[in-house]
Amino acid sequence: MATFKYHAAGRVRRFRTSPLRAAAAAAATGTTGEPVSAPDTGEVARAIRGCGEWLGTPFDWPGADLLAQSDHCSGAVTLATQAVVVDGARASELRWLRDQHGFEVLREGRQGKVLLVAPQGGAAGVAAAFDVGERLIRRGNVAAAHPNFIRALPRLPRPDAASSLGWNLHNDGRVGLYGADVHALAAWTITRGSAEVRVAVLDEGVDSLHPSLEPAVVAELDVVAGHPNALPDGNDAHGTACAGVVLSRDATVSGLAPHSSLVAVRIARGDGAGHWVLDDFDTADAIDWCWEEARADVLSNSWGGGPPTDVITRAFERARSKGRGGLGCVLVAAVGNDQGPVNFPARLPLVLGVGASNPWDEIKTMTSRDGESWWGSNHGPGLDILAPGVRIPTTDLHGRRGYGPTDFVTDFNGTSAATPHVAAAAALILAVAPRLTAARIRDIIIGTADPLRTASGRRSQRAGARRLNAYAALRAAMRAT
Amino acid sequence: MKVPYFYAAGKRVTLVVENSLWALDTEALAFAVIADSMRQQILADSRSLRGKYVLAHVPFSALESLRAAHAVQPVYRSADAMLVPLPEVRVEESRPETLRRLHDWLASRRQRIDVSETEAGRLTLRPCSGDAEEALEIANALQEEITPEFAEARFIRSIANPDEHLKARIRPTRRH
Repeated sequence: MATFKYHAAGRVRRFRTSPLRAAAAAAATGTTGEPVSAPDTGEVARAIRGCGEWLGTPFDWPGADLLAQSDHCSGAVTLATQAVVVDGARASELRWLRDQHGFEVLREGRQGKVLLVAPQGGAAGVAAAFDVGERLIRRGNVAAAHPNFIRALPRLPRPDAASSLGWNLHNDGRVGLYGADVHALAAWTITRGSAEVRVAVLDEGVDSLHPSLEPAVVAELDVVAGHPNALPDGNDAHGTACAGVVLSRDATVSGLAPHSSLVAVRIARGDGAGHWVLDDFDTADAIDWCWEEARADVLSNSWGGGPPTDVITRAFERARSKGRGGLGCVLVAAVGNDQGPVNFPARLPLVLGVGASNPWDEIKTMTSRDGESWWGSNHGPGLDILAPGVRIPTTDLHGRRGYGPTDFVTDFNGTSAATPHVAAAAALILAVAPRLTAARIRDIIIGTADPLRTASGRRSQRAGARRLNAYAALRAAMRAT
Repeated sequence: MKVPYFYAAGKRVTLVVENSLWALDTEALAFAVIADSMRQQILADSRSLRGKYVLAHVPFSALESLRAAHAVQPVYRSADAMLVPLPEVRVEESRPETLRRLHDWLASRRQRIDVSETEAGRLTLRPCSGDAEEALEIANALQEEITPEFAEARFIRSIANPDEHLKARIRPTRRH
């Protein structure tokens, strides 16, 4: 089939034509051979043949198939026409087109755009449109000149299809603001993580038998009871929910880095009276085990409170300096939910302190628009970044135990929910850039986060008032390698 | 009265004594000279902490007997957490000169402190009295006199359960 040339964006482009039906078939299978959401080009062809023109652009093709170009990546089909678009042309150019090539003005658009049609029909008219476009560019008296194309684009995914994901991953605007999310769909066009990257979740235990988590588990430790696995007590579902935010492999309730591996660590247990009990020495030992024996790359800590102690601080320092063969483990921790100062260990300089944002891209406070007036994200020195922390869908204990009667919970709350988003983003980065140091990853995650807007619409200058953007972080990481 | 404290990152962290609660060693409790009924009552009102330890309210009349049996340890508050020191101090030191001074310091207190050194420069100290307050004092004295790379009493910490916020969300919904 013929190949034509035209100019666009200052570059010469090639238009490789094939019969419309062949182009449609090619677009519909895409590069992977799997069906993509392509336009129904058979229908387009029938419609075009039926009316013979589209908004005044002629497509009369008696006895011949229409010529089109398919885009394997997007599934789009572009149809060649016998018309040429000229932008910024002088009257003398239009006269030249008419006198020398027989092109007649079909329509005049806004801002000096003119649509002209070739005197010939069929393929000769298409060729003439490409030809005069080239000639006009070479004459240098127009801003743009190229054939007018008809594009049959794949339908964009219906909002319903994408919104089965939580707002944290893809906010379609039904609750909160469109795009007030971690940009998971865009990030997943690059990677969904790698089994080589291990994320440790240090918590009150993880249901490592949960169908959406079990395939990811590569190591477990229980420093509370010394069990061979990290299963929690009774209805203790917090750690299972945190792990799900990182890497749930369920198609609907997905984690942000679902192809990553999980290191489940039980460091705390509930006392039944609203407290968690941790032994500082055992906690420090668990941190050391994570980087030293379990070879964890990222340590997610949705816990905190109480005064600092050196034994835990030093274990984090070792993870940061000796983990990953000296590149350092990425350490993230929840800042706390009291709307007060940042908790230990999140306030340690080597730890990424994570606060919570809501679906309106606000820092979560007791008066923010989400209506949850009983908690607010801690803030101040030590808060490095925000991530979604209000009503997050994630995994619950398998069976009827846990937060609810099913295997999933739709409203996990707190900076505990925000923290594993950042851990997952670090895991995504390590999947594409495994040699980056922990310090560099931390800089990338913070530096690419989206600034929140103030009530007046300006970018907030408040320290830490930036929401995780996993896609931007991934792109920056790829540039950094 | 002496204000309890410990060191973190070279700075003093002040501890507030929790007057109403004690950390009770349930194994040592068996040897305390108190009435069985009181023993049962103390355990019934306790809540589990870690291992053999529970948090309990102890009647004043039983306190001396429990102290004598080394069955109670103090409970402190700091930064919204409850801290229970255990009668154990961990020490780490890699500088030869400081390590030598550390060994000399410990040798002069051999009668009071049980020392185990699993590997060079990594020591575990236990006061012979079994008293957690003494463990705090040992760690503080080391910080003030020897300044090793690391010396800290072992703490159990009780912090707010992060799930409390989720429960708080559910409660108002159920009212409707």
